[in-house]
Amino acid sequence: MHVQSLFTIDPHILRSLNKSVLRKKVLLHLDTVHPNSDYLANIARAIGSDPSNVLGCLRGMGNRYNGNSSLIELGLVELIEKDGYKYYRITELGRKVVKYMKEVYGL
Amino acid sequence: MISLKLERELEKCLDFMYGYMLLKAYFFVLRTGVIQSEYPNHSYAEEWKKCSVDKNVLEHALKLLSLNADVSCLDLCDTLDRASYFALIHPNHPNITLGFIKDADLWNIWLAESPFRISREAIAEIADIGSDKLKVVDFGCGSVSPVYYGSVIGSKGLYTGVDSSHSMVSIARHRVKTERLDWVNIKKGNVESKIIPARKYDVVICSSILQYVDSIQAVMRNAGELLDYDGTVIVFSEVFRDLEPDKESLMSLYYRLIPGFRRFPAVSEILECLDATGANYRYRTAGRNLLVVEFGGR
Repeated sequence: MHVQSLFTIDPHILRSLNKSVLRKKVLLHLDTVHPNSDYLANIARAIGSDPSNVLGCLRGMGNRYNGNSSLIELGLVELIEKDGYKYYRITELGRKVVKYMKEVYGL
Repeated sequence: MISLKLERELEKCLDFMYGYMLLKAYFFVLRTGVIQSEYPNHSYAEEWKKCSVDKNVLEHALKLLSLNADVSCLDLCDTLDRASYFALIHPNHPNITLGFIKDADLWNIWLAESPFRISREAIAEIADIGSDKLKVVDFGCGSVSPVYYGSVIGSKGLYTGVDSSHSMVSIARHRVKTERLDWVNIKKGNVESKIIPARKYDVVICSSILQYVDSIQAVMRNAGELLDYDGTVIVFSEVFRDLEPDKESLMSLYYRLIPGFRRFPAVSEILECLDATGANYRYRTAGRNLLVVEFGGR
């Protein structure tokens, strides 16, 4: 299937990223560290935000961050649990989305 | 002159698209029971009740779907189909993702595919855009056409794109900058507002724009002024309602989900507007979806 078709199959991918600057920042940061993963506190430090907001972007939180539009729910980021620690890594779909956004908006 | 192959390809693609929408409409009516049921968006449901989609359309749809057409148009068709379900709940439901402002990045994908891609190739061929020093203005340029026409025109020519969606304009500007097409200008503006021409152009392109405007006459007047009534206007529409009245009702049901959609234009309506300008002109149609108007002074 044509890669860009994925965005039109699930338009929420692009809409959710356009709606939140923080989601975009988190995704871009995880793209720059790819193929490595990163932990919550470090992501927050790298993008100049606090961990609770970053967690909201990643997996949703209460009314502030919609769970359905979270990066994990959209399949853009995956959670890796290792030795009791949680790490986040961008997925292949996430990388394709970043590539498209860079092409369109020149992020 | 447009090659017959391109003209046929464009018609085939739009017929294929219509066949697919017929099939989708059949299942839409079946699943929602819209003919008998009441829905919160009363006006949209009423429109569906007026449209006859029954078993008889299936044969016609399958015949159109057997055409060997470019299937990339199905992305837009699927989005239109999905939006139609949500539109029964509310006309501005958040899952209707068809806006030129909010969903410019999605339109950027659709505009790169057929039928818009084929229409661009056909328009470039009709206007002989590759020839020397051609000045082209494109009404409702979107985000893809500026790069395409800009590349075809080349550095000796000039291309000006006008679009009312700031999101589309910003994507287009970024792409033009990336491709280093200095002879391409993109302006955010309404094609219906009076335009005071700073220079004379040779060609005006109105591609899939007339269904989104209130006054076709204002657009034609602007086109004539920009050409100084000596040049070519090329109009592309997915449906001209007088040429394909059978397509109009169903396609309008889906297209009205796109914010800003008014109604598909008719060739006779465009000609009436051209008559009102008082200019001399000749016109011809290239297939069922392209209208070529050549002004010959005033």
